[in-house]
Amino acid sequence: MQSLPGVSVSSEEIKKYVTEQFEARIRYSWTSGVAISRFLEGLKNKEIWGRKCNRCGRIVVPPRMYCEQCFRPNDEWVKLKDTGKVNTYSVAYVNADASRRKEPIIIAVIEIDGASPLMGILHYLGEVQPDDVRIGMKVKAVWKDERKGSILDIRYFKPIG
Amino acid sequence: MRRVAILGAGQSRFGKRTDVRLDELAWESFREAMVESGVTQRDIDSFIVSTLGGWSAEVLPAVVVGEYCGLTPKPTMRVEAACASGSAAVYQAYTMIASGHAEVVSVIGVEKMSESSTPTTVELIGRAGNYFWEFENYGMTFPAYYALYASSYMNRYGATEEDLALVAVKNHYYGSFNPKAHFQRRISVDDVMKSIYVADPLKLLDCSPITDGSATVILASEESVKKFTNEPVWIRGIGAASGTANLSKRDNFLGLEAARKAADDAYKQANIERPISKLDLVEAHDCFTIAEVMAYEDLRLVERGEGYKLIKEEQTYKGGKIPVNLSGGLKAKGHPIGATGVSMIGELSKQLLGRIGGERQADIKHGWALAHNVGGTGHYAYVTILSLDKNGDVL
Ligand SMILES: [Zn+2]
Repeated sequence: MQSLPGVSVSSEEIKKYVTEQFEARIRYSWTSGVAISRFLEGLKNKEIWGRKCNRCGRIVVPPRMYCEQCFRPNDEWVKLKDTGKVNTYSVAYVNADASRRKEPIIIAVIEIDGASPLMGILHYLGEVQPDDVRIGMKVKAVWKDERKGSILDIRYFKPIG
Repeated sequence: MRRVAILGAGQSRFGKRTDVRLDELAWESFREAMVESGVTQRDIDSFIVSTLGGWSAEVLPAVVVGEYCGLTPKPTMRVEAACASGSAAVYQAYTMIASGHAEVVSVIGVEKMSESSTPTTVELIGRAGNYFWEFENYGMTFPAYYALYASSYMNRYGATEEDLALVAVKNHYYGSFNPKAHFQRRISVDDVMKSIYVADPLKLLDCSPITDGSATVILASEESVKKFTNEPVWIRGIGAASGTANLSKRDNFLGLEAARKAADDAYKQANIERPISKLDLVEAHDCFTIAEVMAYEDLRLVERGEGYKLIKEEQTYKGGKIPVNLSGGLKAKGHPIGATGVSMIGELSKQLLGRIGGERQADIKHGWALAHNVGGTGHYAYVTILSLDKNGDVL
């Protein structure tokens, strides 16, 4: 590589540079939309709802109101089971801001029973040690007593059978 | 479609660059690319700036970079494809030239991640993908997304955490010879295994760092190449694809389908049937160790399930079947998001021309190289194939 003109700067020298600071205060208002609002309402009643397209037969969860494959509005709400299967998982030792957790959490991709194959959501696994989690394991939702229409109305999924 | 070549490339020193501003950082690589190519600002028709941003203060980085680099009033835009932004910007420049719309285009990738605190940056990366279903409720971090793949891969094929660690050891080894790398320190398998878990099975030393840096490549049409250089490197194929935003909707967690599709498209354009016997080297997107192992397979260097054996047998070191990440990779060289893809492609053009030298210089037998650049967790994928040979079937 050709040598270039200029002066390299050491880390000691860097401390001499002036730093400006500002904080961007942004508050987002995030709408759940038509389908997800209905889905979240269902969680209050310990129900998981998907949408079915009668042309292609797919039952999708999380739900949506339009079948992008058939190019038409889909047809009906279908109540799914609150059980499913672990497709894969991870044991997280850090929080969203990179701080360490006291106890790790297990997060899994869960295929929900009653929906079409590979339809599912991420959620926590509970009542199981990280070493005992297996891909393909059957799980069931454990609901909170007080529910407010949030995906966290499900406390976690626990192994069954 | 017209043939397109790389005239020259540059890269800033990667690392925590609190000594320079975004535009000064961009200038470091742009200046080197101008010196290597002999191109001046006058010769450039347009410049494309790749930045993901969010963590840096500038909202319109393209014009800030343009003003500082003396490129105003050339047309510009910012291109974003997450961690594959750099390759996406090269793709944009490539199509502008191939279509006859421009003669000489500069691609400047730059990222200033250290302008925000580490917690803020980690949170912003964690939001990448599908905000509501992944981040809002669970506070997922980026390592956790790749850990979903690592768990599934290890479960299916029997790879171990030690096998993944070998990728980090290799890339730090080559990083130790790269004066522009973020980390120039060698590590052992033991170091990786003893580092703390971030998202099991991934540990701190399985992860690439938060890095500032810039990289530039200057591209030209076949007609314009001879005005500047007798040693062009030709872009012989660019494949691109996307994956679902929501990870829960992926078909499997054993490889990145978008990367596989991008690779197949690029191989078809370049008429490559057996990549491992035609490519002299590869720069692969090793944001995590598992990502490099999956890349071996997505790029068809080996069959599905064989990737971890390739690193175990040290076949991706220099002298092996296919050297991968002789730059140190994202793992040791660093991963300044918008600069990464541009850096890969620039690095490979210098490799093919024998301009790297020393321990990191690959043996160039066939004159072909490949850059594999993934955005998000397989949300975007770009595969770019370079050659010293402009002939043969082109696009
Ligand atoms: Zn349908």
